[in-house]
Amino acid sequence: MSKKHMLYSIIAGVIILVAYIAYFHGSGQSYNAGFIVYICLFLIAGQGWNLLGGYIGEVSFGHAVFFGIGAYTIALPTGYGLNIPMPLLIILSMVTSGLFAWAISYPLLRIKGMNFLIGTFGLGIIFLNAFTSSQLLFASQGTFLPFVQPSVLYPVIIGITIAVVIFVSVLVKSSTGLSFKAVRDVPEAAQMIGINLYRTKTKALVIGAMITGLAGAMYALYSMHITPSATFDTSISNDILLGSYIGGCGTVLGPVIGGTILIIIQEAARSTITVTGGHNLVLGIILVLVMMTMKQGIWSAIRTGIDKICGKLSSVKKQRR
Amino acid sequence: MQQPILELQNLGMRFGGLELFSGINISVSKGEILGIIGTNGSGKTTLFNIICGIYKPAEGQVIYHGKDITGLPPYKIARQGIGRCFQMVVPFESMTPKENIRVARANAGRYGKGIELSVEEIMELTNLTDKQDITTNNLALPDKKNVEIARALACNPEVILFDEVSCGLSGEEIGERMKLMKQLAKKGITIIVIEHIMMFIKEICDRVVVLHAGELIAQGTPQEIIQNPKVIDAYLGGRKL
Repeated sequence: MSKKHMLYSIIAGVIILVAYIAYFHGSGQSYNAGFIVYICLFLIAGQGWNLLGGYIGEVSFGHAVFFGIGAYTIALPTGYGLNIPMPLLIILSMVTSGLFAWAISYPLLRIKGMNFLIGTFGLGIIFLNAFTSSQLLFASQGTFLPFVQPSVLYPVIIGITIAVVIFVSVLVKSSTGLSFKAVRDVPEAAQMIGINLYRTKTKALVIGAMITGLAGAMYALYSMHITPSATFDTSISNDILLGSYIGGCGTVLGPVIGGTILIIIQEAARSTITVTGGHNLVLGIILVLVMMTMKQGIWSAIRTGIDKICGKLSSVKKQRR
Repeated sequence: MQQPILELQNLGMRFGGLELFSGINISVSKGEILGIIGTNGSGKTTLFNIICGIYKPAEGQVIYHGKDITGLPPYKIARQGIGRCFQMVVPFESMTPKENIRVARANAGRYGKGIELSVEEIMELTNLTDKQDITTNNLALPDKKNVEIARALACNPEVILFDEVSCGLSGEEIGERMKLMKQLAKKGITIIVIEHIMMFIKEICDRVVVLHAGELIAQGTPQEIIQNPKVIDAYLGGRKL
């Protein structure tokens, strides 16, 4: 890791920490591990979304499907009284989400841009309604999961979040990650260096779906009760997408910063504004302001700021010499 | 005469009802520098798009190493050793020059059976050694063009198609590109170059083909071409060079 990257990481860490302290201090709670874990779930899902939306450039509005598949894969065996070890179920959740992504990749990745966005949105609607109306899948009542001690579950979720962030940062620096960026930057030129566009997009979709499925599985364990509306709803896709967009698409830290800020704003607005729909109004205003002032997201704005400071510091150093 | 490495046989192209060209026959041998000139809209870039697999010709075949590659997807053609530099420069701007080379080597470079240059050699040939870690987005146009050439070289190509590489460059920078192309041809890379600057063509090409109004009107050495009455009339505006 270069000095510059280390500096970026420290600053990002400090910002997140300050945001946490500010919120928890303000709300009169000294510590709320559950809330931190809830944020972690969206950070994991954001990393999954970012592989396709940020690094390939195909914006999906249906990642709740993979989130939901992950959640239901872990919940259904318990609902049917099957006794399968939890670690195996977590792996199965990732595999099921990945396999489903692979299965739909052929029709889905042949469309792009706005059509892709609408297509994935439609996929979300199909799943929400199919799961809501199917008695085999416990319909709208959903199903319960066994209680896992927070002292075990929370460190596992935080550990998985860190592992996912590290995995994605290694992946995007590898030749596979560079191929993702090449497809996003100039698809025609990417083909001219031997990149199979469809296969590369499929890779990003499947890996991203597996990560999002993992987030869904963790969510199921965290909430102990899942329903179609809590897992497949458009608002889940919405939050995953917005977190990455606010933070900065196509960067590893973007979804981390954006997801954290988004969930904190949502919760802070919900707990402080009592007028019906008031918290959504505040959220909307903040989104508009961020997108108008920081078009590449918050992390990109921070990086530009750091570059400017570094540039000024080095010019001051040169003048002193 | 050497066996041609790449042949365009009886090639024709139509866009809807409009015929762009037909009956085009061109061949190029290993290590040769072939120039393609012609008025705007004569189909030069379309020829490149057909060779690369972006367009499927209405008729005819593209033969590479004696094998028909017509209609293969672009990535498969690139993997066989045909590289390309675009007229509108399109490096991967979010990456550094080094990453541009890395990604090309990791894809077509794994399959290309052509000239394999080391990353350092490519950097040196394209004057990118000092700029290898700067994001391409922050580089000037001549450097971006160099990144594109470096990326094509990282594919271990046997043939490189250059589409108006001199566009937007100063006299000195054009001279550097000419020198580079000669060096690459000496290493055994076959070069096909589309150009409008006749000095460029005269200086580096072994052979030139001229396209005009959907036909190949002349083919020969640069000297033969600039004295050809058809070329003088159609392309040089009636003036001898």
